[in-house]
Amino acid sequence: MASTSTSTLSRKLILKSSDGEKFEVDENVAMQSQTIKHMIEDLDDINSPIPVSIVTGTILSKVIEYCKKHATEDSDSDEQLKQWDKEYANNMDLNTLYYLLLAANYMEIKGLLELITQCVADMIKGKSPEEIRAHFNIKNDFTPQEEANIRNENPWAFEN
Amino acid sequence: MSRFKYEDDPFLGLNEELILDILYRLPVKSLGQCKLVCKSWLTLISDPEFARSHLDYSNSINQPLTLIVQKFNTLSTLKFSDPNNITEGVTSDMLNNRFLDSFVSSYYYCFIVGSNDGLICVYMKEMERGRRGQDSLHLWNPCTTKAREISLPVKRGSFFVHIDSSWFGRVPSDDYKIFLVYSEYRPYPYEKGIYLYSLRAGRWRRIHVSDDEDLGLISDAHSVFFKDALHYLVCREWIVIFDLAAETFKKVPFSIKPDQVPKHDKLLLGVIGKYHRLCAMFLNRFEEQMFELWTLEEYDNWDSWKKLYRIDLRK
Repeated sequence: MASTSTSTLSRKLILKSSDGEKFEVDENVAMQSQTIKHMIEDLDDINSPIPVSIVTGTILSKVIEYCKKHATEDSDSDEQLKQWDKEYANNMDLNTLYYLLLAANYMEIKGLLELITQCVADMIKGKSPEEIRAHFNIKNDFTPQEEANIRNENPWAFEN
Repeated sequence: MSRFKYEDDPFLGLNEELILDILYRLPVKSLGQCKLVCKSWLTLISDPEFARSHLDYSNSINQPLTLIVQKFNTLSTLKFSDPNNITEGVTSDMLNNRFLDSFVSSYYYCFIVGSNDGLICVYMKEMERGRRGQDSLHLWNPCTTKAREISLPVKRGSFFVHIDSSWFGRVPSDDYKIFLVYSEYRPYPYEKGIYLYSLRAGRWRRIHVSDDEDLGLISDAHSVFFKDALHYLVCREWIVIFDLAAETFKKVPFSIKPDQVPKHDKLLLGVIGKYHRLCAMFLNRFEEQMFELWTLEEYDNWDSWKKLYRIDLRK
């Protein structure tokens, strides 16, 4: 493509992950992140790599994939975008989801944060306490007596 | 599936805010189950502040609750597959009606005073002749099946009480209120009363009105809640407004010019959520068969009624 566009929108930024991997992205893609947006405002030289300190390259590439999809105002309808989001989240294993959640939170990408929190909420929904603990590897720190008390106080939650 | 690298329990690595963001998205029943997952979740969910934020979140994403009373006093909720187009289909979900079932031994009639934040205020009308007047009022949470009886402001005698109008909901002062307009049919004189209950204070207050405000006219009128006030259309001429914060009445003329008012047999006041405006609906079911919708362009400017559209029902 000829480089005819001179508008500021087409500026390129370089994001650098915690493990040193560099990604060149369009400014409007990176600007989905409020954190990066604020960083650029304070930056004199946008040609130097912007450190995304707590996010690894593997995760950052996934974050960029999301931001690219949501930055382009192409012909995708809301419905198609929702479908894309759904597939995007469903293709992640728990480990990736977890680090994506931390990344979305740190980078302040509202849409991604909502997508991942909803995805985790959907995993919790409809599961028993035992199933939730097993799924997320959460340690049960209640004594049997405490557990019985909570069940007795909230009988409505445990009946079908 | 790969193991978590972060201390094995992924939630330990998340700050409280993120865990809350996830928990807010869960329905009440799931939250009940989550209380039993671990101590830190129990603490988060049991915090009264959590309930408030969870309500705000649920209210922001869910359709408003539409309740229907079916025969045998069974309550169900309606869910529209598309809230913006109710012709797209609707499903009904029966609530856990165990609370209502406990009344089934006696001959009663249940009606909904109002509902807000998942709570339903129900009035149980005793219909058996010998027990007339022994009505009761309850606040009920169908999710947790918990219920609380609210003692009625009217002395339970043998006379018949008719509820002319009612409302229940949350007010900005972080309180829930119940508004009742009723008529007592006792041997002459029969009396009209207006009472307001504050859940926080736990008591009723009689609302006194001056004689010139003819509030006897609030009868079988729908309570239209808008801008923290209740609106009643009376005699097709006036809008009576009860300010829930100041607890005072005022009366304004319903000022659509007579020559502009379509011929109708039914007139209702309402709120259009989308435009966040007060509206009036004229319906003519017999002659012209039409439906006309008017909105008040500017709240407090009671001359700003404007026709939004008219539908010919014969087509």
